Parts: sequence; C-alpha cells; structure tokens
Amino acid sequence: MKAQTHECGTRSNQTENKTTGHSGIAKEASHRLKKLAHNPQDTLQEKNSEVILTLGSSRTVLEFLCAAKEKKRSFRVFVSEGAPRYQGHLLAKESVMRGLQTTLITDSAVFAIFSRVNMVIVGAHAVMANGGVIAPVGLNMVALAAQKHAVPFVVLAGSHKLCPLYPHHPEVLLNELRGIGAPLLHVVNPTFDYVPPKLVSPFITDTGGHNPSYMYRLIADYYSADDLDLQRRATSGN
Amino acid sequence: MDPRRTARTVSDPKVRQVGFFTPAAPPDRSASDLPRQQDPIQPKSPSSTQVNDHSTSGDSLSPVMIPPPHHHSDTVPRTALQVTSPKTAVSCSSRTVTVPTKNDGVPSSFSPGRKIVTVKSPSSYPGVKASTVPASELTTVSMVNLPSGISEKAGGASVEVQNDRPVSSKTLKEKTYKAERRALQEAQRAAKAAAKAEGTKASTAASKVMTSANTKPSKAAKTSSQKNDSSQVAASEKKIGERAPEKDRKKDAPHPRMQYDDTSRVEKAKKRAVVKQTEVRNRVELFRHLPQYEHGTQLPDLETKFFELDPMHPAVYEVGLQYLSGDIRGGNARCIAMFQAFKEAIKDYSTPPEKTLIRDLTARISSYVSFLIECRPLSVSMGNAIKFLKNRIAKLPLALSEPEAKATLTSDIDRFINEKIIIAEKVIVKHAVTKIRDGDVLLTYGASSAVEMILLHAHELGKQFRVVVVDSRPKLEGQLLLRRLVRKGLSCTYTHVNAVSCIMQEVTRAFLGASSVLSNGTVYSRVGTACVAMVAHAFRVPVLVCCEAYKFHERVQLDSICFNELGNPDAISRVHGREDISDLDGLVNRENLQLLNLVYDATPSDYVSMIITDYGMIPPTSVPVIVREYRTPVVLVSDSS
Repeated sequence: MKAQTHECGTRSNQTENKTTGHSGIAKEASHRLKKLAHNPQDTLQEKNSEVILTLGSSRTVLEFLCAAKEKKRSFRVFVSEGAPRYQGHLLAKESVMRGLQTTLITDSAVFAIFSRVNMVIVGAHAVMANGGVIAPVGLNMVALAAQKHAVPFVVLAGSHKLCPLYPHHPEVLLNELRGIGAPLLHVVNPTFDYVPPKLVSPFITDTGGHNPSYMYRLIADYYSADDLDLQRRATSGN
Repeated sequence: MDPRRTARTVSDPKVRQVGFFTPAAPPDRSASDLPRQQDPIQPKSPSSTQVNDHSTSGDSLSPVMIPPPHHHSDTVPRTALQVTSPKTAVSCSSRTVTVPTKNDGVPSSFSPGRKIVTVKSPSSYPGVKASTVPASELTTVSMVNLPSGISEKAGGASVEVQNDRPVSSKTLKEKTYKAERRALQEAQRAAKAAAKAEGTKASTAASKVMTSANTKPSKAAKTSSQKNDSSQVAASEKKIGERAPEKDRKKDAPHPRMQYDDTSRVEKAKKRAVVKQTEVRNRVELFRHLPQYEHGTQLPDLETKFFELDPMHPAVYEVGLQYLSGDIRGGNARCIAMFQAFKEAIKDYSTPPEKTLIRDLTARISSYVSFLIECRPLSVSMGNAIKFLKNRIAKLPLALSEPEAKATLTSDIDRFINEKIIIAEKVIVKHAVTKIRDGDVLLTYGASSAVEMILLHAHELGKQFRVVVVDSRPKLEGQLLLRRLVRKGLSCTYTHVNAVSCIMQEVTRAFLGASSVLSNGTVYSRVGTACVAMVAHAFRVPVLVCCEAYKFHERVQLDSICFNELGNPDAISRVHGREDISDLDGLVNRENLQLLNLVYDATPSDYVSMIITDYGMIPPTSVPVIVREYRTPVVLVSDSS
C-alpha cells in the first residue's frame, strides 16, 4: 500500500482503501460529533441551525454527514454543484436519498450564501506534505471565502490520500488541464485546485484531527525516505 | 471669500462640504443655516434672493446643499441646462413669494399647540440641518398645491405635510408619491400611538424600524397602532415633541422592503396582486423572505389576464412579458425598455374628467410599476429611474396644459435615457480605456454591456491585450459575450467560475459590471461577481467595477441574503448541454431537496479597487458622495422644463 499511494491517491488506490478509510473516518466523525454535542453553543441552536457547505462529490463527506445525522445532529447541507463535472448533483441525490436536508446551489452562489454557513466540509484528492490540498476545482475559491468569513474549512482525507511530495507550482504540475485551443479562443478547464495550507483549518483523517502543519509528520509515519528514493529511481528508470 | 469666512465663524460649522462643489455657492447657504433654524418663517426672503443670485446653481428645488457638480469628467452637455436655469430661478422665487402668508396662516388658524410643536420640532433635529435651507422652497411648492379652505382634520394633515417636507426632503424628492402617502399615514398613526402613556415604548419600536429594514418593520408599526386602539389617553405635548423627529427620521430611511415570510403582509399583497400567486414547492429556509420565483404559473396567468387588466397599456404589458421570459435582461436594457414603454403610455394618456394630470398619471405609473414588479422584481436602477419620473410628474407646473405636460415628460424621459445611460456609458468607456495597457490580460465575468464596450473600444484603439471571460451556470451569459468578442477579433480565454483561481495568476486587471453600487461601497451584481472579486483580491489583481451613477443607491447591505432575487430553480437541476447529468430528475419534488438559484450577490467593498462611473474613477468609499451628488442633477434637469 505504501508503495502504491505516493501517486496522489490514484483511483485504484481509492477503491482499494475505501472500505477501511471510510469506516475510520466515520469513527472519527462520531468522535467529532460527540465533541460537538458537548459544545454548549451547539446545543443552544436546536432546529436546523447548522449550515454545512460542501462542493462536488465525495463519498467520505457523505459518510461523515450521514454519521452526523445518526447522532441526531440537526443541520442542513448546501451542496455546490462543482462545475465542470457537476458531481454535486450526485452528492445531492445521495444525501437526499439518505434523508439529509439538502440544498443545491450553483458554484457562483457560494460567496453569497457564505454569511450563513457554519462550516465547510470537503473531500480531497490528495494531501501534500506541506498540508496543502489538491482538491476538485473550485475549492480554492471556497477556502478563500471561508477564510474571509472565519468559517472552519474542514478537509476529510483518509490516510491513503496523504502524499509525501511537496507541491511546486501545483496549479500546473499537479493538474489535469482539459482545455481546447483555437487561434483566437482558448478554453481553460482544469480538474484540480490547490488549496494552500494556511486556508485549511483542520484535517480529519482516520487517525484523528490534525493541523496542516502536522501533516508532514503524519506522512513520515507512512512513508519512509527510502520509499521516496525508490519512487524516483523507478520513474527515472521508466 | 471674505463673507464666507465670517459667515462660517458665526454660524455653525457643522455643515462641511466634501467632494465636488463649486467654491462660490455653498457658504451663503451654510451661513443662513442657523437663523433659519431658530425661526422657520423669517428667513424665507434671504433664501429667495440667494437663489436669484446664483443663477447657475439655481437648483431652487434642490434640498441638497451642494451646488450641482461641475466635474472635469462630466461630458453631459451642460450648456443646455445652464440656459434654462435663470428662468427656473425666477419661477421659483415667484413661488416663494406666496409662502410667508401661507406659512403665517398655518400656526394661527390651527391653534392647538400640539400642531405647532410638530411644526417646529424637525428644525431642532440635528441631522436635518443640511437639508433645511433650500427645503423651504420645497415646502412652498407643496403648500401651493393645498387648497386654502381646509377642514380641521385635513388641516392637521397639511401641517404634517409641510413639516415633513423640509426634513426629509432630501430623500423625499426621489421618493415615490405612493410611498410618501403611506409614510405619512404611518407617521400619523405613530403619532397617535405616541400620545398615550407608553409612548416611549412605541418610539423605541419606531427607532428599531429605522435602524434595520431587514428586521420586520411592519411589526413595530403594527404594535404601536394596536396599542393606540386599545387605550386612548390624552395627548401630552412633550411626547409629541420628541416623537416628531423620530418620525421624520423614519421617512429619511429607505423604505422597508416587503418581507415575504411575513404571512399577514403576504396575504394583503395577494389581495392586491394582479396575478394569482401560487405557493412554491420547496422554499429555501434562508430565503423565505424573498419573492419566490413562479415563472411557470405566472406566464399563462398573465396572458389570460390581459383583457381584464383594464388600465394596462399594451407597451407596458409587452415589456413586462419580456422581463418575465428573460428576453430583456441587464440593468440598462431593462431600464430603457421600461422607459420606452412608459413613453408610449404617456403619449396615449388622456386625463379623465375631474382628475388632475399629476395625480392620475402618478397613480397610473404606479400601477404599471406594480405590474412590472410582478413580472420580475425591479432592479435598483429601475427604481431610481421610476423615482426620477414620478418626481418629474409631481413637479409639473399646474398651469401646463395636457399636451404640453406630456411633451415635457417624454422629453424628460428621453433626456434621462440619453444622459444617464447612453452618454454615461460612453464616459465610462473613455475613463476605463486609460487603464488598459499593451500586454494586459483582462478578466471579466458574465456579460456586462459597459465592460463589453470598454473591451471593444480598447481593441479599436489598437491596444494589444487578451481577455479572459469567466462564466457560470445557469445563465452562461459569458458565452454570448465571448462570441461577440471573438467575432471582433479579440483574443479570448474562456473558463468557468470554479477555475478562476487557476487563471487568475496571469490576469493583470479584472473589469466587472454591476447592477448597483450601495452607499457602503458594496457592489451588488450578478451572482458570482463576489467570488471573482475575492479571488482577484487574493491574487493582488486590481478589481475595477464599471457602473453608471444612476445605479447608485443609498441603501446599505451587508450580505447577499437579506435582499436578493430568486431565479428559476429548475435551471439548477438540469445542466444545459449535459444530458448525462440527470441525477436529480426524479427527486425534484422530494421534500428535503431544495434548489436555490440566486440572481445577485453583494461584493464587499474591500475587494473593489476602483469604481468607474460617469463622474470619474472613484474609490468605493466615495460612493456616498456620488449618491448625494447624484440627486442634484436630477433636479437640475427637472428645472429646465
């Protein structure tokens, strides 16, 4: 597993780890919700007061929210649809099926509703060693808005999404650009966004909640320096 | 300048002129400020002489103390305005002549001391000071209209009218006639309520009303009126005295908007409504207070109602339907279309027997406006334009014959469209082009007519630059802009709003359009503008907002939720051109799924580097100056008739 995951948590790894990762995070979610329940401020607001914003679709987020619902926490979810893949529709569908109070919004309306949002909970594509996040496109915007409104920007990431690399120019190097070009017209269509560590308030992984500054240590638990070397040799060999 | 110095030291120095004004005019006004407050009758004659002195600033009807702006940037043909101004000054002074007798008559004929207290009290209210001076002329105008032999009750009302006018005249000028009447009624009710023992409580309620238009203001008013019903206690003069300024302040504040979650109000509105309102399936909890989007049910309803809506002019009806179907959109386009329709309506208008043109036409316009509101909520720009038109109608001289009055109004409308929209846009373009250099990468969001003109003009000038068009669902207006730009040969990059942080690194300037600019510098614009401005700010890219000055508004808004417009929710569930996205097809009627399609959002002023308007390029902090300034030209234009 260690050897496989250092490529930014590719699809195959995700499916492999989904079962273990999700149950772990769900456990953490219940931990977190216990904490929330002890929070007096939270108990004061009873009915549908908490507003949670998420963008795109992440199974982890869905599991997390459902676990929260089982704990009888009342909240409503705003799902931003997440152009250009519109995964938000999928998440909205599944959360409606599971009985969550869901509102679907366009990506442009994210800033508009932020003044009523209490928390942003998103999934990640990969977590870099410096605590930065490679996430579905649009999340940098959401993270900036969260910072502006002093709202916690919670990233849910199983330990299989940790990546031992430090990002360098991640908008270009760790991205997939699917644009088209014509003489006068150029279309930019990136897949991922890079969210710098200063915009992330906590990470929640299956080993617990961590600050972005701690991620390098967590990664060191999973990846030894030898593995890194191995990878480099392997890529150069190829 | 000598008299100015002395005058300043003698009179109160609180009136400070900031911003645009000609140096000669203001000091006299501030000088005569203090005596006027002591005695409301005496200083009438100095004011009329004053007006005659300054023929250029003969904004005799203007309650705003600053003289009309003479900006370096103002290309609106000023000569036409100046030529006409002496005439108005004369006519105004003749009006003022009639005043003292009337004004003398009021306190003597309506002897109860209570009334006199109300008359005087506003002048003691400090916030009013700025507007008291020229307001006296305004008072006279209103009084001329009043019939001389008035019954006891009507007399009371008239006293209130003339006492209100000087105070709130600043806003009153632009206030609609209907709103004025309603405010008056409310004020009277509130005054009665204040008369009883718990008057203080009512006044606190009223003050609550003034401070926040977002909290339900109707409630406070209601409670006070209810209390009034329950117990009728003898009036105490002191209470009335302290009551009056608050009441006036209330009128100074912008009119509270209808809150759609207030059931009793909604019921009342439904009774008035032309179109049958239906309940919307799934309202979003946060946005219950906004008018809900009911497109599908409204359109057929409106179509069948056409023959029942007797007074509706076909041109207005057509424009309304175009609003509803979205054929006309964009602040300027909607405003122009509305005015063209009103022009048609005025052309075909004839005063019914035993009615005056001023009142009947105002009522007629009001009914048109409420019809248009039912088609789509008014934009701020349209609100300002309607205020202008109603103001013009109200200011029509009584002696004018009907064809003359109609001709005056149509020419006023034409002038408004020309000066405030068309020329204003040209001036904006002229300013903005100076900010474009060779090699720039300009970002724009959606399709703003002003920004499009800027880009095309810069291209015509031969500047070398690249345009990034950012777009968003569901309207995808950017594609239209992109098509037009590429056709003109501009090099463009197209992307969606989520990718804006990826593209922002190469951008050097962001040009954004606006639906309105509010007086705290907040830019109220198409949804997504705030996101783009925020990201631009984060990447240290200057954000230039292009907005005509007639779209400025004195309201203050802190977030995008209290006041907004809701679009068609079905546009969210279906993605145009992506039939594979069909996750929500069967779920639209599920109770726990809501679709939210916001139309506008509010960009905080921190993100705005500069606002380009027809008065020049200003920082967002200077918006209140323009808002205050903007009233003057409207009056000036009106005088020239």
